[in-house]
Amino acid sequence: MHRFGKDFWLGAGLLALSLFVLLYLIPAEVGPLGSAAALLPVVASAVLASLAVLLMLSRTAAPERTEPTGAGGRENGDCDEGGAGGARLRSRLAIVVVMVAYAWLLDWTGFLLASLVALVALLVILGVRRPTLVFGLPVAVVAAIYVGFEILLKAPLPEGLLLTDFL
Amino acid sequence: MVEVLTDALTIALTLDNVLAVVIGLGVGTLLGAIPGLNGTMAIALIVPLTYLWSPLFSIALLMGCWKGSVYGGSISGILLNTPGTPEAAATAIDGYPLTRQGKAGKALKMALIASVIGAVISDFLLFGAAPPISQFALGFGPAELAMLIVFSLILVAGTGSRSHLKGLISTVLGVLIATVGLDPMTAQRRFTFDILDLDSGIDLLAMLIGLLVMSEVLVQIADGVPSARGGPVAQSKNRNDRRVTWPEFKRCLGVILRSSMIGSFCGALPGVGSITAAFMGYDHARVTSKDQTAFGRGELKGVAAPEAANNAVCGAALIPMVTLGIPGSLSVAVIMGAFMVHGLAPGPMLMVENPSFVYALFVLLLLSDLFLFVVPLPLLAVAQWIIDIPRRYLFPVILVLCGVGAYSTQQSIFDVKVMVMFGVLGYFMKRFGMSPAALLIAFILAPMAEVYIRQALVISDGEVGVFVASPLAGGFAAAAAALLLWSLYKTARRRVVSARDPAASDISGDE
Repeated sequence: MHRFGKDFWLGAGLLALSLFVLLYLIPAEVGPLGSAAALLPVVASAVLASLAVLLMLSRTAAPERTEPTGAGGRENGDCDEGGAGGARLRSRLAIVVVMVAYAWLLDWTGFLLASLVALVALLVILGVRRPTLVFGLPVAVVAAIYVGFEILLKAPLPEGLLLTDFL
Repeated sequence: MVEVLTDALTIALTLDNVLAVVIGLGVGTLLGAIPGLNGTMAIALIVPLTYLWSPLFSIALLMGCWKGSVYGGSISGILLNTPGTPEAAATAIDGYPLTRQGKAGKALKMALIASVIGAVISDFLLFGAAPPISQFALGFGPAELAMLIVFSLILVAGTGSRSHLKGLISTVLGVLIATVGLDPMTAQRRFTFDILDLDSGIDLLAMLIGLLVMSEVLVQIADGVPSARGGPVAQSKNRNDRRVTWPEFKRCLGVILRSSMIGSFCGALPGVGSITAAFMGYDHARVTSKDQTAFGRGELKGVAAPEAANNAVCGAALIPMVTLGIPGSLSVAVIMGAFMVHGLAPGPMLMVENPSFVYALFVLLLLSDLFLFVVPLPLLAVAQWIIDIPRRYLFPVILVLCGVGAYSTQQSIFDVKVMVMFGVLGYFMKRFGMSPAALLIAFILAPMAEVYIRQALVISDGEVGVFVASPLAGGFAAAAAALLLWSLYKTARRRVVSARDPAASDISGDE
């Protein structure tokens, strides 16, 4: 395992981020470092850099030790050991991909189709295999949300650019 | 004052508002009972819907939902030894053994009685303390308010993370993210990258839903989706085992009252929260008991004390929000988000500009305590059924609701993308032991702090000494500095202890 542990690299990443914000993003996206608009971003970035260095230093002083095995704390997420851990990692990645695709699909196809597809995909990712549930549950849920939002609450749901363009 | 109270009663006691309280309690109880779906997540999902309704109706609904979820968490804690909300973990210590003895009904009813008493005491405290604190806070200038917010930010940095250093980092990240959008004083674009949707900044609700709900689903999937089938609840045939008798109530009353005060105190302090309150209440009950060995084996006081304490947090936690505009906990931050969605700015001016609204809210809070006695009981069977639904069916529905919720406030697909982004960020934050709660609270407070700081500097012609010039501002600044140094000292001390004796240190990956 890493000598410094993941918190050291977290600190390093945050230090890099804060320096990037301070030295590049603020001048590019806000204005000169001394301007009024840049006051809070500069202070926040500088404080973040300091805290990141503290985090790195505190982890540098820590003794090297093995990560606990078994269920462990949530902070040990990078110790998946293949097998069940690898499957869960794939599940998480797949869910993020589905949610990103869902946001994109909402824009193009609207709520009904995007939500149906997303629900089917999510159920399959989480291990549901019975066809009645894989297809039936999404239809029921989408219908309930549609009725609840569009009809009862009069809260419009995305129609989708494809639909509005063609109609 | 009499006129304000009369107005408040007239505004509050309408059928709509009473219905909002009842529905909120019911929904909150059911959602809070589901392990993995805590009250704050439930409120976060409901807040976007309230955009369409009146402010008082919406906030009454959310408050009812919050209170219901605090009790709801104890249902699964008592029945399954799996608390629906973190604060119910203390209740489960003695609640579940009572279930194993066939006394689930007794435990659930004692939890309910204690919850109601704790909530009533806390709401009266809010009623009594809010007006004088608001009056006092009206005298605060920009420098005092700025230092108060800085102090609060450092105080709440400990929320949701065992590492103060990581909590501070989360807070600063929240401050940085809050600068996206237009400068509040010059309207200059900051970090918008020519994306028009970012001119108004990151949408609070989209961020909230992503950080709290989507990230939690990802974390639970990472920990392995449980099949989550609850075991059968063994009910005793003895009638007395399904209810709380008068002698039992009298025996627990002292503990309930003292735990309510503990919970109210914890709630009024930013950054302390209901989990601390619940365990402090439980510990108090145990150490003051004549038979400490009975705790952990089905002692009724062990159910009453934490429930009184954690429900007493709710009303008192509104004190800093209503009077100073400072959310002391994540749940209050979400409720504050609802206030802001409806164009209400929590703080001392709220009681000046909208006194009838504020007192109407207090009336509805007291009403929610009364309804808390009757609404959850008939829902226990429904709660049991919902608890049994496997998480792998619930999670996809929750994720889709996240997308719909994020879209609903501004009808913007961009907000859905923001929600997904913060869902992923929140997941990584939790994995690294950082605090999405501290980030969120900082995100809410930072814009106010920036305005006050810059106003103070304008008034003082750029003199930084303005932040320590007055006793109040100087006091808050000193308290903030002391708290910061203490947090860093604690971090350093734990590292030294860890370096000397790794076995004595906390769980790895944390300080």
